[in-house]
Amino acid sequence: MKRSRFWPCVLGIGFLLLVGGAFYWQVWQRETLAYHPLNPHVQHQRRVVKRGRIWGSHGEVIAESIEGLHGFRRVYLGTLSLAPITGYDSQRYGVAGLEKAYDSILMGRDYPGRSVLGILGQGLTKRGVGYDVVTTIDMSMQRSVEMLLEGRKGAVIVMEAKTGRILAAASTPGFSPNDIDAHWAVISTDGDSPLFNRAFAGFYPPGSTFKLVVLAAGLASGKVVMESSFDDPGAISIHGYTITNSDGTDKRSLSLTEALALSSNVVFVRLAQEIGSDAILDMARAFGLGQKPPLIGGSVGSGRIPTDELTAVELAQMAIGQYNVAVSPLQMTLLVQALANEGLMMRPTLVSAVHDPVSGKVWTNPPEPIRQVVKAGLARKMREALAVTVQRGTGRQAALPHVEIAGKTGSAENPQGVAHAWFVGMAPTAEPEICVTIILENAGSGGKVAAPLAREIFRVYFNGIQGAKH
Amino acid sequence: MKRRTLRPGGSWLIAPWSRWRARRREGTHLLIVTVIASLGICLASWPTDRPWYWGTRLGGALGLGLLGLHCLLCLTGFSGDEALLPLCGYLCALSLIILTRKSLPLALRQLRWILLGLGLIPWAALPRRWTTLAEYRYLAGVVGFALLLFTALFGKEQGGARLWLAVGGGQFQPGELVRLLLGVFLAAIFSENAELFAHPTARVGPVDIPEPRYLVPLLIMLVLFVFVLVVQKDLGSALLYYSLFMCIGFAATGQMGYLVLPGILGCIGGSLALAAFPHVRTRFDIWLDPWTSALGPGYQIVQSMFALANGGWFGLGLGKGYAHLIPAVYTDLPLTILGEELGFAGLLAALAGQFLLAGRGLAISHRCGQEFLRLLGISIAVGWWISTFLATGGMLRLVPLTGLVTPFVSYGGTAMVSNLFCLGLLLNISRQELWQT
Repeated sequence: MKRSRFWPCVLGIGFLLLVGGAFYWQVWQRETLAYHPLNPHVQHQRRVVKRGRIWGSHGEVIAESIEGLHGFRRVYLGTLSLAPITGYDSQRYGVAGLEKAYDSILMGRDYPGRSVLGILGQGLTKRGVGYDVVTTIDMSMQRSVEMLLEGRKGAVIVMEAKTGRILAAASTPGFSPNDIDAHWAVISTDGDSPLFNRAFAGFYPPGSTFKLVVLAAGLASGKVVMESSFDDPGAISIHGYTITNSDGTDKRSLSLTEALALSSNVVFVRLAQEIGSDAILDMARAFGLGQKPPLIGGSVGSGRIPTDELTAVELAQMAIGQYNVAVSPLQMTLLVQALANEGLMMRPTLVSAVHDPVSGKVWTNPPEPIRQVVKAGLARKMREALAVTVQRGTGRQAALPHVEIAGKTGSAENPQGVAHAWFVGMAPTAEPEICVTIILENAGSGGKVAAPLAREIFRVYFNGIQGAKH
Repeated sequence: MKRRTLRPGGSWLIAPWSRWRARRREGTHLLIVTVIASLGICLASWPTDRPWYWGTRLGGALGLGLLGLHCLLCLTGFSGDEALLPLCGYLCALSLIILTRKSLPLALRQLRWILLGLGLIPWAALPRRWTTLAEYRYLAGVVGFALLLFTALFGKEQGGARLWLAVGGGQFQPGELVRLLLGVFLAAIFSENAELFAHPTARVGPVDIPEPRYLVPLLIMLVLFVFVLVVQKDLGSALLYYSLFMCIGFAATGQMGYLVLPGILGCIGGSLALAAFPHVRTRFDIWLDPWTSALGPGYQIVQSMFALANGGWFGLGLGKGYAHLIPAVYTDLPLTILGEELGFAGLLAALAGQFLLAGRGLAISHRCGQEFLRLLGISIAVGWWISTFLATGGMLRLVPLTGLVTPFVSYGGTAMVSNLFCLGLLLNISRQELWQT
């Protein structure tokens, strides 16, 4: 009786409650409380510490802290469309975007490296200056992209094919993060959500761009090859549900290359039926759809792919990207990046280095492979088919005379109205250097709206390179 | 197990090697505690303008006190527990680290109290018949009550509650002493009449109760204690004394009734107090929603929550936080500072120390063959744990903020000395001579 389990239980439960409480406030609720406007610590830190700069890849300053009457204040020299990606630093509303992801380093609170000595030294000293963050953003590219967007709502990502470095990321409409406290009421209530980072966290139905996943799954399964021919009667009926081609009908047999070039819905529904939903979903997961991309320097979403058993109708709808699939522009960029880099997916990188302005020390993020998604030969074959799409198919408007471009358009139907226009592509086809992803919200057909924009972006990149060579 | 006893006669100054060996684990751990204290205070001084050598001075003084006590225990062939002293030393070290953050004089004063308390330990711990305390049970009860009443009538009001008595030039907090006296009183009454309390002989409505002749004085005493405390606005102590009664009743009789019935009555009493006393109501409202009064009465707890959140997993680093600016943080919420500067990990380490100390105390008490000492030991260990839980739980908003001190960590001379004396009692109770056979 006297040596019962009662006392250990009383002590143990009390201890667990206290530890749980500490965990709740210090870890679980940390975000909300650490940036709470009434938190004097945060306000004090923001005023007395010279927050690190954010640099573009060629040494342009995107954001810096300038000492004013009431301590330090953040000044942004980037562009409007970059603001949703780099985010803001506000006394009252906290931090967002890259400013948030690298907050502790920009504030000089955490040591950027892994050396134990460095971390200990950091813990012992009080830094008055934060670390600078060097992004991969090429500001001239970013400005060109923003100009070409002409204020349309949407997102563009330009990525280096071999390394996964993001050269430009635009989310429009953007905003000016300077003096955001004063403009907060207008910006935060705008119906077009300028604060929202569409490039990394916006999710859209992929439309016809999803056919890349279906095609890759089909080729990987070995059941079909590029030359396999499928009948395209212009419409296909599954249990009374009819799917037609978007550009009217064309009653002849198509090879998969031609079907991709013409974006034939019927052929891809047939292909999906042949290989089954499991193969498609496995391939989608291999490409990283439905998962958070391991981006360095920003917050990303995971999107969605179907998880439960699909009916025949649902499978057909998914094959053309219109059933229960939501992808972000960043995820689509990684998909084409893997195809462009011989099937090897690289870690998407926004921050290439952290620099200590006091000691001059630099910590870099070298390119890092994630996984081999498909075999190199398969990737090459798909690139060739995508080149055909731009030469003769739906992506004709993206073609440039002196560079071979490979790409796929998409027009994603959505409940908000007119279709979202997609373009995903890369160039040059044989040895891709850059990948481009475009989504224009409710802008219409991808081939008519997004493809011309892609052409101009490729033109800026390759002409710029040629200009530099001369 | 072989019993080691103090051999009379012979020179105890030149102790045989076996006496040192017997307590070598205590010695090792006390050395570790010394290192923790010195290093901690050095590191906490580093980012501020304070010279680092105060770390070695304060830590060294604490270590000398602890190790001196250890030597004394070794030389006398003391057979008591080896874990209590290092655990308590560890908590004292945390206390000094925390206090250094505010001001050196405060830490030095606390160190003085610690050394004084350590000086009391040999008196309490070395073999002595503390069972005679049981004979003064009514005296203990009456003196305890008188002290409370005296404080309520003539005490100094500070921070909304009247807890201080001015004596000579200084002041002291009788509440800590009263806890010990109440423990003696309850332990004596229950150990004397354990059988009577365990077997109900009378009935009130549907409930069987023990002989009223024995129960009623006890209840009157308890109600008086709690009432005085509630009027005096010291809710934490009221809750503490009440739960001590429940726990000792249960420990003595092994009957759940001592937990359930007073528990229900306590809830009813609590609701009545909530309705009757505005200051209780205020505390309760702040607990439920501190944000509406975040710049008024809820300021302390809201700031404490911010400080904890700033800490995160591993904290901002010693000496880099802002929690020391929170009002009354040294007495009410000392662990907030630890939580901000050492993070969740640091808070966990401090709580583990408290948990192990209370658990060790309970285990020791249960091993004791003498019923009065067993109950006294339980009242001490449970008392520590309840105050830790209420104080830290108040900081973490698990329970309303009560203003109880965290044993061995909060700043306060009376509490420190009386807790160290209690530690001495526990050491005495842990002697092998008293083990249950």
